[in-house]
Amino acid sequence: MAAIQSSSWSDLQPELLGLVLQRLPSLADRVRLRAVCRTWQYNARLQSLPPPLPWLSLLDGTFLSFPSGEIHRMPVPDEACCHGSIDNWLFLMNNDGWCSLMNPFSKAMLQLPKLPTIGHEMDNPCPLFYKLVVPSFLDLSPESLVAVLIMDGGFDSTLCICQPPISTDAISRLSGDKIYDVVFFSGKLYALTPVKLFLLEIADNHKCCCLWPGGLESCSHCQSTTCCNMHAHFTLRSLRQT
Amino acid sequence: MASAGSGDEKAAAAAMITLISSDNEKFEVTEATATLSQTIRHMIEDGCTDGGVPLPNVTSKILARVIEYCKKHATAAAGEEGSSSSFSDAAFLEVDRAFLEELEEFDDAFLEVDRATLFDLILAANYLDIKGLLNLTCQKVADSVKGKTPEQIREMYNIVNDLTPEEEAEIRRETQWAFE
Repeated sequence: MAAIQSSSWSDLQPELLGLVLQRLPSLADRVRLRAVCRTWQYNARLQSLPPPLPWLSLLDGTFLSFPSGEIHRMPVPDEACCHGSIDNWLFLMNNDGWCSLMNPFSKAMLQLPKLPTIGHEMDNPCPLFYKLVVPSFLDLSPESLVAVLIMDGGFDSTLCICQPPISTDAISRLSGDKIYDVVFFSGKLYALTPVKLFLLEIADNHKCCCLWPGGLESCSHCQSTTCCNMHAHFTLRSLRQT
Repeated sequence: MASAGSGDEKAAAAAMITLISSDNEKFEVTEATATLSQTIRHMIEDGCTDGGVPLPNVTSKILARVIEYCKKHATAAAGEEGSSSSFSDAAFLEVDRAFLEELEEFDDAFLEVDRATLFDLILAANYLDIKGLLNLTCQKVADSVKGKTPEQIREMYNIVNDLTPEEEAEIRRETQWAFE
């Protein structure tokens, strides 16, 4: 019985290698499979694949990969610390307070302004938490506005509007309340306080003005689709690789 | 091995197709089994299966395995269709689940093969255009490389590392995070 089929896995046809890659939702697994031999390295590049699963950005600057639970550390420039992420970009802060966004895959950088210090930062050992939001995918629109919500562990938060590399506006309170969360939804910026949902308009001069809530009900009673959609966005914002 | 295609007495009335492996072994299968392969389905539709279907890319060893897979999945598909009208919804779901579990067990056992056979099964599934088998075998490969280093994958699949040290160093430099 002649075995006329060759069994060299390195000769696996490109589209069949693609079928295997498609079944690897983790970016790390795809990278390691490509590094097996020269043919796979080359053939893997010919395949168009669905985006891998996003990573969860952890507070210590590392990333948690699904579903394996692998922890990844992305190299950042000396004297910079990763404080979060937006799309494929890491949010870095230098020792001197200057901020930037860096795409760790393409190594592209985007300069951000120095962000305001908030609360009792000096005597508060609690790390600040930074949430960045953009109206559209940052890789496609690098000129985009960036909104940064800075929160401390206690009672303070500040929303910063930036047109990189400059900061154009900062808001600490909405109707006297702390801002809990922000999100861009359908191109518009929304902010959540303990009791209300606000729609913020960013004017041509990049200053922020509040359009809502006019007659909006207290958010705790709000069951509208918009509110639910927003919560979905609030809870899942993480690093995504193209 | 040739018996793989001859045990189906009750399908005597159904149209039979003869498949001929690269080493000239003949396998007689029902049309329902054969048409899990889109390639063979098209040949039947074009009326070019008289005198048998030569499959020059598939050895008898692999063809026997492929037919085993197709028989099982063709039977399962026919069973599901037949049962849908004669049971209440709950009973139907129960039967459905039993079918799926049995099929899953079959698939798991079916994949207990060495790497060379797995490779040939992928090629055969691709050539014969059997979507289910192609999914199954590619998933098996994907599952086996999850969390593995390139070195472990090479060892598992008997692949020679033909990357130069410089090329390897460059890959590591660009994607160091994936190798820590």
